[in-house]
Amino acid sequence: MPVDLRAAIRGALDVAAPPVAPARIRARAALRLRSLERGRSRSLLTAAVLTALLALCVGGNGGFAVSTAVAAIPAPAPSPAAT
Amino acid sequence: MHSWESQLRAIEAARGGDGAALDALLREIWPHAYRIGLSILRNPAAAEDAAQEACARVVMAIAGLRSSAAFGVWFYRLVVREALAIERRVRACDPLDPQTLASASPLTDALVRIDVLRALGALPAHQRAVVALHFYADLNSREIASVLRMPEGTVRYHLSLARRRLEALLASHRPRPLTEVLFDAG
Repeated sequence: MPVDLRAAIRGALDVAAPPVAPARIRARAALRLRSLERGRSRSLLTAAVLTALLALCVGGNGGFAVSTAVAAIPAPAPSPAAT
Repeated sequence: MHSWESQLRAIEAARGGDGAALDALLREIWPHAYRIGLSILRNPAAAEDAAQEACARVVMAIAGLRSSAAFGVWFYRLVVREALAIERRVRACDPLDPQTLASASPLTDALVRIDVLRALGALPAHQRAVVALHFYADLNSREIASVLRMPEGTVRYHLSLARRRLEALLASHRPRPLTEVLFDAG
C-alpha cells in the first residue's frame, strides 16, 4: 500500500508550536543589531589605525622612513652553532 | 504554499515600520518557522531556537525587503538557514523528546509522529529541508531552488531520493507499544 507522504509529514508536524513572544524576538533582533554595529565600528577603528600607521611609515612624517628604521635595527649576534 | 498573499497588507505595513503589524506577522509566521525547524532538527528546543533566530532576522531586515511578494521565499530561506546552522553545531538531536510526545494526542498519533520524525532523521539535513519545503510548505521545485539557492534539477534529485527513502522506511511502519519505542531509543 503506497504511503501518503504529504499526510504523514503534515501529521507529524501538526504539533502545537510554543507560544510566540514578539517582545523576546524584538529583543533578540536588537541584540543582533547592536553586536553587528559593534563589529562594524571595531572594523572601522582597526582600518583607521592601520591607515594612520601606514601614513606614518610611508609618508615620512617627521622625517621617518622605513628604510632608515630597518637600517637602525641592530644585527643579531651569530648563534653559537655557527661559530 | 502557505498563502502569503493574504498577508501582503501586514507585510507592507511591517516593512513601513508599523510595530503592531510586525507583531501580527510574527504571530502568523511563528508556527511555520517552528515546524520547518522541527522537521530539520527533530528537537523542539532546537526548533524553537531556529524559529526565534529566523524571526529576529525578519525583524532586523524586513524594512529592507525589496518586495512584499518575495516575503515567503525570503522567510523560508531564513528558517532553513538557521536550522541548518544549528544542525551543524548540534549534531545530536533526540526526536523522542518528552515535549514532542506531550504535544501529541492520542497515543497512536504520538507513535506515528515519532516514526515519521525518525524516518526524517535517516535523511541528510538538506534533504530534510527539501522535504519540509515540499510536503509541509507546499513549495514546488522552482520555489525550493530559490529558497535553497541550488539548481532546480538538484532539488528534484534530492526530492526523489528522499521520497523513495521515506516511503521505504514508513511502509514498514506499524504502531508500537510506547515501552518498545522508549527502549528502542536507548
